[in-house]
Parts: sequence; structure tokens; C-alpha cells
Amino acid sequence: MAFKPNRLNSVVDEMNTCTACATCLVTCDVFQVLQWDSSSPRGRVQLAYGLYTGEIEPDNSVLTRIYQCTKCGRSEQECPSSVKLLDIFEAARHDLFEAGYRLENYERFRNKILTEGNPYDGEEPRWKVFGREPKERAEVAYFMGCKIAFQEQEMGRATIGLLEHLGVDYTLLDETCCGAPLVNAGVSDEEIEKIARRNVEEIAKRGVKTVIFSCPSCMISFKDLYSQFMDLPFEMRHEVEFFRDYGMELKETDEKVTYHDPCHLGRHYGIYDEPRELIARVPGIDFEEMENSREKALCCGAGGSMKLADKDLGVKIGRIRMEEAGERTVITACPNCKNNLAISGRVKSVSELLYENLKK
Amino acid sequence: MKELETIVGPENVSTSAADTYVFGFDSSIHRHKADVVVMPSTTEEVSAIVKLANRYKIPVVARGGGTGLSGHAVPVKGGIVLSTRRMTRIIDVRVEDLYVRVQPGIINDDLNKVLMERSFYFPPTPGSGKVATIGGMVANNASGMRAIKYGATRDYVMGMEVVLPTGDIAHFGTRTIKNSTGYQLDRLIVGSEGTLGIITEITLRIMPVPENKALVLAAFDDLRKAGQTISDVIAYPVIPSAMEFMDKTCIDAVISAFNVNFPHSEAIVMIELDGHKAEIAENMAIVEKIAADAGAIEVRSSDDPDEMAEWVAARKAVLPAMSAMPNRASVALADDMSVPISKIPDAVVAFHEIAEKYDIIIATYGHAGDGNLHTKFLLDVNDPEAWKRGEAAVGEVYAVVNSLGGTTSGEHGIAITKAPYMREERKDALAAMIAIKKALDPNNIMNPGKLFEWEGLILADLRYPAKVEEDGRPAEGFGKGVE
Repeated sequence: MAFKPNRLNSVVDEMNTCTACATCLVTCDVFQVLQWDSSSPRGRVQLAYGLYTGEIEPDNSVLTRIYQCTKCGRSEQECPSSVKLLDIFEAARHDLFEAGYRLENYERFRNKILTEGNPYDGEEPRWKVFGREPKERAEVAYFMGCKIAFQEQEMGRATIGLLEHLGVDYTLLDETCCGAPLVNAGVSDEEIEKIARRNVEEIAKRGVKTVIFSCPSCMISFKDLYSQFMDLPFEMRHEVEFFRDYGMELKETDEKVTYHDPCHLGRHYGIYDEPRELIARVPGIDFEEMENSREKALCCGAGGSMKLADKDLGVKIGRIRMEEAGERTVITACPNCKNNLAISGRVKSVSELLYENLKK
Repeated sequence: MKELETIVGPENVSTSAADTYVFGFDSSIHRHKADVVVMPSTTEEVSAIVKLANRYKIPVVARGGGTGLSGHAVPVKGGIVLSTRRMTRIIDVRVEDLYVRVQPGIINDDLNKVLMERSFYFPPTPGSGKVATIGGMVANNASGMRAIKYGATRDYVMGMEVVLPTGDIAHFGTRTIKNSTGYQLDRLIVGSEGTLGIITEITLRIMPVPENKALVLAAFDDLRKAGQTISDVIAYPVIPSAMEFMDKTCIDAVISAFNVNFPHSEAIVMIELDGHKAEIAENMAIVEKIAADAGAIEVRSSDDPDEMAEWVAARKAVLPAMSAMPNRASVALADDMSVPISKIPDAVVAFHEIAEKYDIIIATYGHAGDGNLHTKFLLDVNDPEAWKRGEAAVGEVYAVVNSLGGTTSGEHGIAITKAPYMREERKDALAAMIAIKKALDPNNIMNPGKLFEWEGLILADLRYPAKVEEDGRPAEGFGKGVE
């Protein structure tokens, strides 16, 4: 199929606004590891431009560079010209995918998600993992997401444990993948909308007032994406926002910890204080910020489904982040961050920290 | 290819579509695809690459941070783009001898971070200091807002190692403060824009970091009063560490886009003073009085780091504020003229008239203390007519600059975008430049096609679509120039 710049057409002004000043090279973790200008945000804008003009063929080298991005949003945040970099990259991915130019791993993920409901080797329904059947009606629904269900189950157990300890009227769901990896691949809106309808109906039919997420990327799918297709009849909160409203009695610990801001929770939603407040509630805990924290936080390396394009690169970025933490245990609030950072050191979620220190 | 891979290792060479395309761009309005990108890490590797290129007569274009605004790193004749990204070592820091030796790929701010641990620094402060490499700064004679007191890169180059176009390695200059030993060939390489050789090591003079800083901000309802203030401060004499200027277009844009707390006015001058506290206090009072006497409508002073950072951020917000204007993009055209300091008001008034005549927006700001102005041209980059008007306006801007006794480029260099105007300005120096180039680079492999070799005007190899067809694709031949 011939490449058509259908969505790139809508970001031409953004591409023209980029003055190519290269400020984004400093703030891009991918570029800092690879050091090829073509692996920087500026490089990706130029590749998107080349695709738009038809000057370059979308061969494997172009695809790889376009997908070598964790979508951490830091370069967009720091861009002196406020260029919507992520819109450009998503448009490029979308047009490539539509035209059939696909990296093998993304294609495999898409097929698995569309046929099996999740990208991993896990059997649905996922609530079975935790031995708790969905209730017909509940105040609160816990949308756990694929990563928790199939790769970071300890984190899910902690969240469920906290919900039960606090006496929350909650239910698990017969959920399907939120679709974030499909967006990262560049899949069409129609396919995403089908997933959105299925998940939203599954929640709405249970009379749920509040949906809580452990995974910030799932929350983005709901809040930013599903809401484009339909009205969402419930409130959506990340678990750190939710648990902050509850008092809990916690044991003393002398653990030395720091906090890694997940890009999708911090930079995207500005949720910086809530997880820190929860950590500070643990008596005696020894907390210290990393050099790059809050708005300036580095990426964990797993965002944007980038590891499907370049696994080693994702692991290297994670290692750089963990080196910053030194000997401290890294606390975070995202299963994808936890999963990737844990390759290079000791990591747990805010929910795990709270749950293990609960006075039960 | 095989030979290049043997020299630097296969992982440091690329002919991929993605890499050869992206390494054809820098921060200028131009671009042209490279044939191969290579990333050496040592002088010996650079020498071997250049020998190979010279044998096969292949162009070699050195590239640092890729932040040049005139097309320095754009391989207009194709060939090899040699990136210095792997040459980032600080070889030796000698504060007692006032120098540091570095490889060319180290980034300005990274070097300064290390030097500041010893209370020293490399003073030229380019706006792109976060990304610009020292090699690129030397090849371009870059500077920044502190040039009025601390000079340009050229003033800090003590010596260098260069791979000449034959591939031979030569050492120019010294590691001593003084040097009257023969031709000052290191000075020749400074500003040569990669046309005479590739810099592989630099010995830079360093300076102690000033103890304190303060800022005076003065707003004026008349450009000439701002100009008077600038001239009077220097003539007093008070030599500030920076003296920045913004015209009404810039002021209105930052106020409208970011609600910056600046007075609505025709011109703002920001004067930075550095040194000991007592000296700063004394100079601050002098500067405040000079501004008030010249008729400033408002004068503010501060030595509070947060407040100063706020003002500096507002000045730096000019670029994003311009970018926020609908249907226009900020392009690097005629972006870097220098005029005698006292001629700034004449220049700015003339630029405003030219902007009106050609129906484009020209915003002027810059380093008023050293006469170096930056203009931002705001065009509808999809409109070929807008480009033509822009090009005509550039010609008139430089005619004004020349008539005021100014020069084509203060700190951004010539390369492509300013080549026709340099040829006009330096008519009687061209023969000497060409003779030097021929003597050192007989096969013309080093960054060919730039400076005096650039032919025609500047709307060529544009990186903007000059026209977009109904189906959204750019018109055929768009990037080859609008005509």
C-alpha cells in the first residue's frame, strides 16, 4: 500500500514551527543513550517531514527511528517553541501503520490484543488471577490493566489488599487491554473505539461511580482517548489520588527510598505531590529525591511501547535512571516503570510500600 | 563503505535512509541528504577518514551539535557527514595555567559544569549553549550575550589540533597565554566553517567565574532613547557583562503569549552587571541614572537571583512567543547582523520599514552592547510568494547594514544563508579567501559549496514545503527553491 500522509497533514504547522534548535536533544533519554541525531526528537520531526513530503521511503531504518521514542513528553515540555512533538510522532506512527509499514513486534502485539484481549501470554478473564469475581454492582471499580494482571501481580495484590483493608466497596472487571499499545503502534481510531466501548460498558453496567487505575497509561486511554468517542459516566482516579483520601495505620520502617515519577502520571497529569505524601506517611522512612525529579524526571525507558522496537535501549534508559537512585529503593506508581526499572535494581510501587507496612 | 567501517567500526557508520536524511539538516532553513554518516572517536580515525575522502575526492562535512543557523553542517554536495558526538573528552583541566584541553564534540554547558566545580568557566555564552559543541563554536567563531565584556570564542582559543584536507595532522597555536610564533593559523581556522580542516582538539583559555550579578531593566517609548542609553552606558564608561535589547514586536509578543510582566513600550534594554558587590552597586546607580536621563519610562533593578531569572526567561520567551503566532513560522533569515553600537536605533527603524514594505513581520532583539542584532522573520512558510518577499527583504536589510558600517554576521556565521551578502560585503577579500582554500584543500573536499563557493541567492534546498497541493502533499520540486 502506498504511504499517504493522512494524519501528518494535520501537523504540518507543528512541523513548520519547529525551528530545529536542538534543545530537545538534551532532554531526550533515547538520544542521550544512542547519540545519533536521527534518534532525537528533532530527528523524528525531520523524518516525519520527509515522510510527509515523500522524500524518504519508510524503510526499516525510518520505522525504527520513529518508534525509538518512549513518548515521555519531556522534550515537548521543554520545547522553546511549544511544538506538539507527540502529536507529530503519533501522526507518523499512525500513517505508517495504516499503509502497512509495521515493525513486526507491534503487529504481533496488535493481533494478540485484538484476538486475546491482552498483549502478553496471559489467559483471560484476568480477575481469575486474583480469585475475585466481579460484583454485579459496586461503588468503585479497579481497572488493573494488562501489566498488573500478567506481569506485576504483586503490585495488583497490594492494591486489592489496600482496598479490602480500607473496606472499599470495589469490584474487579472483565476488562480487556485499554488499547494504549495500539495507540503506540499507530492503529486506527475505529479499532480503539471498539475497545473503548467494550471497557466502558463493562464498567457502566455495574453502576460504578469511581474507576481507579494502577497504570497511568490505562488512565490516559480512558481520560484522554475514550472520552473522544463517548461520555464516561464515572470519575477516574489514579490509585495514589484515591488512597490519599484514606487514613491508614502504618508500621515504622528505616528503609531508604526515593521516588520515580512516571511520565504519564507526573508530566502528563501533574500528579507529583500525592505519591510523595503517601510515602511520607510511613513512619521513620528515609526519603530523598533523585537529582532529576518531578517535571525534570527521566523516563524509565518503557514508555510508548518502545521496547517493542528496541528492547536493549529501553533497558539501558532504565539503568541510567536506577543509577541515579544509588542504593535507595525506588518507589514508583506505574507497573510499566516498575517492570523496566526492576531489571536494574530494587523497585516497588507506592501501593506495595503501604500494604507491606500496614498494621493489619 | 568497507574502508570506513574498518576505520571506526561498523556500528559507527551508517548509510541508512533515516540517518542520511536527518544528518542533512541543521538549525538553518536548508537541508540536503548525506551519502554516509560516520562517527569517529579519535584524531587518528578522523585523519584516516579524511585521507580516504581525499583519495576518492568525496566531500567531508564536519558536524557538532547541528545547531548552525546558516547551513554550516548541511552537506550540499552530499558525501560524508562526520559527526563529533563521540569526541567528548575533557583531556586536561589546568586552572593554574588558565587553560583546558578538550575534544571538539563536548557541549558548551557540559564543559562549563566541570569548570565551575573549580570556579572557572569558558565565558562565551551562546543561546544554544546546552547543545552547541565547542568544535562547532570554534569553527564558527560563535559568541553570545556576554561578548561585550568577555569577547567571542576566538578570544579564548589558544591552540588546536587540526586534521587538514590531506588527512595530515597539524598543531596550530600553543598552550601559553602569549604567542608571537609565526602565522596565527589557529585564528585562521576559527570561523573557517569546516572548509579548511577538521578540528580534533582545542586548547581554550578559561576565566574565573564572576562573584555576583545584577540586572537593570529599562523601558522606553522611543527607540532612539534606548539607543542613547546603550551608547551612554558604554561611553561613561561602564562595561556591562551583557546588554540585551528587544523591540516592540518582541515585547508585545511575549506579553501577549505569556503575560510577562514587562512594560508596554517601544524598546526594552536589559543590562547585566557583574563583579564585586560594591562595584555592582556603584555601576547600577550609574546605569539607572543614564537610563532615566535618556527618558526611560520605567527602570527596574534587581540582584535577586529568582527575579533576575524571571526577567531573563521573559527575554528568552521571544522565540516561543513568535512561534505562537498563527499561520506564520519563525525562520532564520538575515538573523545575525552586527552594526556599530551607536547605529542600533537606525538599523531597527530601517528594519521596521522594510518589514512593512514586504508585508512580513521582522522582530528584532539581540546583544545591543556589542551591536549584534538578531532578526526573526515570520513568514507563512507554505507560501512561495512569502519566501520571495522574505528574500527581497533580506537583501534590503543587508544593504542597510552595509550602509551603517556593519557586517553580515556577528556570531552565527555565513555558510549558505548569508553567502551572497558576505560576497557583496567582502568583495576585495574574496581572492585571498579563495587562494587560502585552494592551497589547503586542492581537491575541495572540506565542506564544499559554502561561503564564497555558494552560487545564487538563498532560497535553495529549503527544508520547508513552499507550496502544498490540495491533497496535502507538497508541490513537486518544492524544496529545491521556490522558483
